[in-house]
Amino acid sequence: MLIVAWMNPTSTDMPLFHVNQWRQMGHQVEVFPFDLEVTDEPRFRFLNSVEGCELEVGERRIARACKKHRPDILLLFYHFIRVGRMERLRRKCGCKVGFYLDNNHLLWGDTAQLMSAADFVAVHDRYVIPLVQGDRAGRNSNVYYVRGAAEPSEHRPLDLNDWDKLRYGCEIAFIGGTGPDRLQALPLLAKHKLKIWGSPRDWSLCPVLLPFVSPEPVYGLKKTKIYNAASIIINLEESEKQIDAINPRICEALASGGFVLTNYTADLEDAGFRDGESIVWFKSHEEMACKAAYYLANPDARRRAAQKGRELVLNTLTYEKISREWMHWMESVCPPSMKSH
Amino acid sequence: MTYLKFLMERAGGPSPRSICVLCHCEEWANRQIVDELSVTWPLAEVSLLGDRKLRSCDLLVVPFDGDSPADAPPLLADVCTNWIMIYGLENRRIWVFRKKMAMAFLASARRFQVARQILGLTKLARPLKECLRMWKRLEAVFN
Repeated sequence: MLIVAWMNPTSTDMPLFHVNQWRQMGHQVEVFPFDLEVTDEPRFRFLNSVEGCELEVGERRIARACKKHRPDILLLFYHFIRVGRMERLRRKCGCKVGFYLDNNHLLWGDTAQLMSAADFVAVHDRYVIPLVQGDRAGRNSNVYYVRGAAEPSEHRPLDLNDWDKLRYGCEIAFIGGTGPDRLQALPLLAKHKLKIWGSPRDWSLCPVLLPFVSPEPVYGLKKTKIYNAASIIINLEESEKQIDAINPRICEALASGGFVLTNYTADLEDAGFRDGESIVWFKSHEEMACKAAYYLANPDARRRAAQKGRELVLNTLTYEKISREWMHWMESVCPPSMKSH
Repeated sequence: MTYLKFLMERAGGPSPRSICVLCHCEEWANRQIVDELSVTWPLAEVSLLGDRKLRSCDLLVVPFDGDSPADAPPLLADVCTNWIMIYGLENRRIWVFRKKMAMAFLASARRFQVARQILGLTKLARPLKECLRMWKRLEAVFN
């Protein structure tokens, strides 16, 4: 299997967590980190600054990697190649091509075409399944929903020292970028000790929030420390990106022992979460503000919910479970090829 | 943790036993890097080099602000290490190379940065852009 993904995003190492599980299952999985292989290279950066050529250069290098590794499955975590090139690559290498839809950008040209032409599509939001799945008008019959998950070896309770507590501790923590929903909701929490980990340039759109923004980059262990140190970790989805999903942030924060306040999604309920028991959700921004105030005043209720939430995640929403289920599904739609390696 | 291990394995490097980190001017950055390295390789001895006096180690970590390798501080050729991690704090731009390749990577990044400045000062950007557009058209026809 050959995985093509951005490997340096600061929000999650999700592709690597899946890869590690699939390798443990005995599959040979090669990784093509698009940033390290293409966009970070000084010569490419130079040429691309003169005339955008990311797709052309990327396609050639992905084709070279396919020729080298001869994968049964090429899994793209973004529209790194155009549909014509993908189809030629598939013919030439005899591989199946999967496409992972990260955000709900269904109308984006290359994304739409790849979803239609791929052998299968994996989605992070089950809301889009009926929009993508089918046999007519360019729909794809093989669609799989991949829930967010946690990696307990990385997302876990930690002993924090005084410096960590001082630096990362706060009443409410939010990690991420801006968007219309977030800009509308977060000012309602400004009366608390709020800490927003993100780019001040983005957040300058909302002057009320700017004093709460820390410009430090957050990833890896530091993110787990923030999950450990904050009283409440807030998850605010942008409706343009996802509607009915379980964001990995929720699972990661809960596995770290944190208390999560999040938008309601039906899939949270289907996954076994219960409001006030294992997580706390809201259906309006006013409800969010009320619940934040209530749970800040009730640390015992917070601790109980965090503990139950952690148990649920460790039992059902780890990469060990989610990645393996996904692999079993891929095996069922992409039976081993007859080609010789 | 997972990401740094992935980078080291991809570069073909072993688990380091001694790691030196060049001191960054911000305390949070030093703590962030040292903590992450200590958790990733718990058996390694991780030292922060405050005075920039280099000593022998398996892995030298060179932090810098920004995300372009051209912004990384220059490396001395006599630095005694096998592997170098160039650690761009913004957007987690991290690269791991053998020492010789790391020097070449940084030199190349600086060369192309200068080339970009030259293009900005001269009228050479236009013909280069046209050449690249032509290449893209040919690429579309022949591939």
